[in-house]
Amino acid sequence: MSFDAPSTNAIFKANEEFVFPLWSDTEKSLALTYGAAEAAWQPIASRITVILDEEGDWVLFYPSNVVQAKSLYLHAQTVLDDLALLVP
Amino acid sequence: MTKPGMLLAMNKIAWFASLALILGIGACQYSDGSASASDASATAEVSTDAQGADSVTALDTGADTTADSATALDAVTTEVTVADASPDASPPADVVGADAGVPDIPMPEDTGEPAGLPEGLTGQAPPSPEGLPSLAGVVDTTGTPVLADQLKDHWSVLWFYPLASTSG
Repeated sequence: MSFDAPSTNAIFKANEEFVFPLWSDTEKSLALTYGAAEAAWQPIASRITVILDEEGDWVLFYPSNVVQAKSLYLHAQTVLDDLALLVP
Repeated sequence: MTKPGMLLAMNKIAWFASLALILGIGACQYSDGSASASDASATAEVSTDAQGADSVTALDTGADTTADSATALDAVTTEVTVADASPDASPPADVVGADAGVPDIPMPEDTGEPAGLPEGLTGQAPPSPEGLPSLAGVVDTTGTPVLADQLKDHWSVLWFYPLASTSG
């Protein structure tokens, strides 16, 4: 999820061979909801992660200082570990 | 010895006696300063310093040092009072009295875990509860709008990143 144009994210996805979708938050609505942007004028999204449950309710939050405290690979593992505890 | 010579000698003795008196008080103050940096456990050190300072003063002057000793002891007493006012000391009686009528309410233990969630999570509880979000303006890589239903019936991870084709 970023503020990039869909075509830019399409190139990114193809180059990295991501198997998950990349979304463009063109109006920054999600970013403002979850704190990835403090205002609509913010040019780029902050590096945060959120987890939503099956109803779409916000369950967990990883603010940018937490995400960047470790390498992004370790952060991905942290999220997977939390999901293993959350998802029955 | 001539009379002027005796006067000169007496002046010298008086000058040395004054110097010794000043040095003796200085030693007491120096000792007190070092003791004041420590906490209430310094009480014994202060007492030792006081005795040492007192004896030094008496040896140096060799005269009536009652007033000097009293000055040194007063300074030490002041330091002991300050040392006893450390956080380990008991609160004043009026503070105890003010708290006497307040019931002791047990506070929930702050475990740092989000409420209602399993233990051991690294993620934080959301700052404010949010239900299914608005997806206005959210599109996939083909430009197709993302629908809210795509966030239902399964868990989702939304990973916000600053720019495409950059690390992370």
